[in-house]
Amino acid sequence: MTKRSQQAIRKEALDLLKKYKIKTPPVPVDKIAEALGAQVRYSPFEGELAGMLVRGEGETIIGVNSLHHANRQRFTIAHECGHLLFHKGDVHIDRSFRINRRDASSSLAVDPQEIEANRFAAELLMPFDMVVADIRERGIDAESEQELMELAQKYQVSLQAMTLRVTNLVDFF
Amino acid sequence: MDKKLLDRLYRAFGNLVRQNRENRDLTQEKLGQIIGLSRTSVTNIEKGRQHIALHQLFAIADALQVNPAALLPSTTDGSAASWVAGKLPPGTDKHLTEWAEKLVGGYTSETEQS
Repeated sequence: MTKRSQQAIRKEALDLLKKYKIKTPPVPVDKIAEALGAQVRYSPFEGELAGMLVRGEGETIIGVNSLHHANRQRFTIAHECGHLLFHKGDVHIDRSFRINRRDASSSLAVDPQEIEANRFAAELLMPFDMVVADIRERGIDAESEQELMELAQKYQVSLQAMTLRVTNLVDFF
Repeated sequence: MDKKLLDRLYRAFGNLVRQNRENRDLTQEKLGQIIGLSRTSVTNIEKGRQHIALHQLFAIADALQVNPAALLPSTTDGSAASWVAGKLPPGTDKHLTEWAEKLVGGYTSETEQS
């Protein structure tokens, strides 16, 4: 079990978006990270590393594997922002993300902090209100591949992330 | 150079002076006498609070009987990164450690985000 409910994580993300007056996608996640006091730095890493959060003396750094796809980098930044907001610790290393729900409950991602950070990333990059409005407007569901692709592009997230998001939110209707 | 980096650089240098001095079984007082500085100055140098001049580097190296280069911090010390290695979990992969150090040391690029 995680410490924070889905609702609490959603609220945190929505509050941030409101605070920084972000009303349309794509969410400028790098700017949000900076507003939260982190410096975002990009560097290539060959291997299983998505990113890292480092809290130093008076500086907080989010490191991103620049070899990853731009959408994945955005997810990484958002994930690290989740750690920054929710979790203590000088260093969080994120080797790879399990962004789908099945994996989140499997042995691959049992760490509650990782689950929370992933949920936060989804809530930040694909804000509830915006995505729900898009789903309603377009009448899409998890099967509409072309629509999902367009939506993923609009929010600058991977198709996989958007598909999962829509699947979760469609349950909501 | 940013003040934080500057502090780390001089602290790293100070640590090397202290290590080499202790290797030679010299007290701070004794080292001070050899190079013509007070014990307090030596303490300050070792703590990174006093910024020495180039000729003093040679004098200290001479007193400690080491090559001046042996007292110079590695670039990662100078660029502030070494502390991060200590915060990584034990057994962290070497490449990952290097990546983290480079990152903290200030590597940036603006190629990614649109």
